[in-house]
Amino acid sequence: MAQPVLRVEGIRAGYRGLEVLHVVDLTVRPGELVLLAGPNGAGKSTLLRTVIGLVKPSAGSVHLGDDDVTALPAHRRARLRCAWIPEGRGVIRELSVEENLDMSRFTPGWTSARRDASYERFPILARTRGRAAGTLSGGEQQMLSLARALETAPRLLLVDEPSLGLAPRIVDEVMGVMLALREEGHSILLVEQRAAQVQHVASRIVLMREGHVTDAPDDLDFADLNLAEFAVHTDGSTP
Amino acid sequence: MTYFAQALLDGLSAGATYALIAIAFSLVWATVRTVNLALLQVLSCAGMLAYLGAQHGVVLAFVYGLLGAVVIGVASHFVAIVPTLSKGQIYPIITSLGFGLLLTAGLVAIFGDLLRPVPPVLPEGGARLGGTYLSWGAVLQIAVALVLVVAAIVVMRSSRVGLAFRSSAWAPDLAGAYGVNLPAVRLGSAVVSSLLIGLAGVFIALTAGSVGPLLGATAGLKGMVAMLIGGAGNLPGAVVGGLAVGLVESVSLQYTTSALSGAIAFAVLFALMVLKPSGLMKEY
Repeated sequence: MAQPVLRVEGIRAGYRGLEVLHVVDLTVRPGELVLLAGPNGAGKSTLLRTVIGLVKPSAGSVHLGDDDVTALPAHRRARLRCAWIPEGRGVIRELSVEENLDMSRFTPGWTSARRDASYERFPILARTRGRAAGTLSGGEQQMLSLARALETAPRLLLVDEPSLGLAPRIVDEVMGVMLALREEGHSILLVEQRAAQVQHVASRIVLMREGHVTDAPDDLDFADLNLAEFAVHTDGSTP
Repeated sequence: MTYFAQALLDGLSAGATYALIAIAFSLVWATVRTVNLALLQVLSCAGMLAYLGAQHGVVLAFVYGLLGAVVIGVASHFVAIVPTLSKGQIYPIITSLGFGLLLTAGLVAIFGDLLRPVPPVLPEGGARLGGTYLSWGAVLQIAVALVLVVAAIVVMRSSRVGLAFRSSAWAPDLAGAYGVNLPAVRLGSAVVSSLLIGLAGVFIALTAGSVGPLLGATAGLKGMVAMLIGGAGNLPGAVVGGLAVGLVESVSLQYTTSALSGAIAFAVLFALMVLKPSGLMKEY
């Protein structure tokens, strides 16, 4: 089997003495889109922040490819081409669309050709390049955030709740892009609470609850599943 | 009319210095999102060191003043800003205030709290235009301030470094995750702001003819108000604010006594702050 793009082993992490992740293991293999689903407060975002280097784990390790990055600060991990799309899009509203895109310049290998490619892929961004990013719609901001991440030529994309606050039609559009990225061979770790609407894009689903992860059974259908109820019994047994 | 024109010119040269001070504070705000109050005393230290250097000529006045400003400014960054920044923006303001008080106490212990006469090391004479007069020192002051201010604005607005500075202010986590080395950016802004405020201190010492350890509490405070007038974090705003403070002060000095002119300047500033609390310009 191919070397995983991301290997998280035995991670414990949290904020100000409160542990949120209790021994989490997770891998993402090349070309996989792993959907990390689970109720609010399960620790999904914390796991992504631990992978990107914004939360320091108290135990365990994070590997990006062959590199043990557990002790590296976020800006060093960015150089290993691990791109993060935070919850709430992570667009700086006060900066222009182009300035937001250009934050990818701080990663290695960036050239303006990548910016041109972004404008080609997302024409709306080309049309609004000089405008403050805060004037874009939620869906457009999500595209901006995705385009910026793609400009880093990422080995791994970490996407946190892209559907948050978007109309269902726009969510479908965003998931269309996710699916296209998966088909292009990108390795993606996607966090979603509204798993039912997005599970079709995933190549594998991992469930998370109260700081623990479990692989989802193959026949799991989120449409039939109340995540809040699921939260009560994920000790390995199918809910 | 000539009096008025002269007042405008005097205001312009004073305003150039206030603009440097305002930009120093604004730059810290635009990258670190806090106020390093110890920069007020960095101004005092630079002034006193320029006084010491001026005993040996104009070059050493600048060297002492600028080197001292960077060393003390960077020290204040590591002692008073970095350790408390993660707790929230109010904490560095208080710790840097404390560090500044310590610096003032040190300066007063060494120099006493009286003004020291600075030897005239700048070229004598000046430019005359109509009935007005501007000393070569003031011309230099305005020219240097102008160049630096424009450079700071251009770099912040349209360079890779400027984008790193601004994005780390708005969204430090995001900037870090996209490869911006936050500690380096913050140190960089500390160095540049210390240099700018140090330069203001040297200019004040050399052009005013005397300098004392409480410089930060007078000129420094006005520069800080100038930043607020322009809008915190907006560098062109800091220039506008600096010039406004300089002009209001100098024009009111033409028509009132020196004690009153300071009060009038602050009254006008106070009125502006009440009318437009977020400053004249928005941060970009």
